[in-house]
Amino acid sequence: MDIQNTQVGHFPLTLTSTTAAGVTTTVPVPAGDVFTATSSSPSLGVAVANNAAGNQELVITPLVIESDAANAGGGIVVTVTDSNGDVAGELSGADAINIVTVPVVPVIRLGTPVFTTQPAPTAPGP
Amino acid sequence: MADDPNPALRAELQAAIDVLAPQIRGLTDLDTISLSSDLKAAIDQQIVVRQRRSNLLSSVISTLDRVIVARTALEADGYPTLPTAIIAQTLFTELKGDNSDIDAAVGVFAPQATIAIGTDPTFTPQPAPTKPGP
Repeated sequence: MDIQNTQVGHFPLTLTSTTAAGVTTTVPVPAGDVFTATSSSPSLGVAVANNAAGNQELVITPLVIESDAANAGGGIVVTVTDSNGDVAGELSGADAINIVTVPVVPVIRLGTPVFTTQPAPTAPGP
Repeated sequence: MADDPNPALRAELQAAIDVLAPQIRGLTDLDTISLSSDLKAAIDQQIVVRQRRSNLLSSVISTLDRVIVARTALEADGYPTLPTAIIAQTLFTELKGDNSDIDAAVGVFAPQATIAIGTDPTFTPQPAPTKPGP
């Protein structure tokens, strides 16, 4: 997953539970359960903060201009654990983080003109 | 009788044995005539080498034979079907009661929760970092 270096990413954090029948459901985060995030690279800052709704969320902050395959970086794994010892969540594999620069959109610009002479046209305007 | 699991392999092994058999017989015959002790030792060694190879080839063929016997027995047992077991209604009722007890016991436990990181993040702006990567 790419994140532009001018962006801070906010990921919702939830708990899921799978029943014996194989049905996965979202379960409430118990009071007092505190999430903690770690990053596999110092190039990506990670933290857990409360969002506007008061729910804990993962916050990832690019700390370098670029970290991706182009400069032998990227693939940053983010791991989230909690104080209850639940099964950790991870951004890894295809979800591992690459820090990319903001794409530059080419703009056509007209340069300073140079004038040459020609015979005056004979057709009337406009 | 079940099919041979690998008739091509069996034919290849048998052909190898067929080549070895006359060699072993000839070497054994040679061993009976008057020879120098060095030549006799060389012949004896080749008898041992070829007999060992022949024995190993025969061992594989014997194993193929045992596979046929085992598969025949498996088919005679009704493989691949295995019918549902029919039991008396009273026994089945007892079994369902036991099953309910097991369900109740399983209900005592709940699985450990898993932390899920949302796949739909939102982004807020920040000044571009100045430190180079990676």
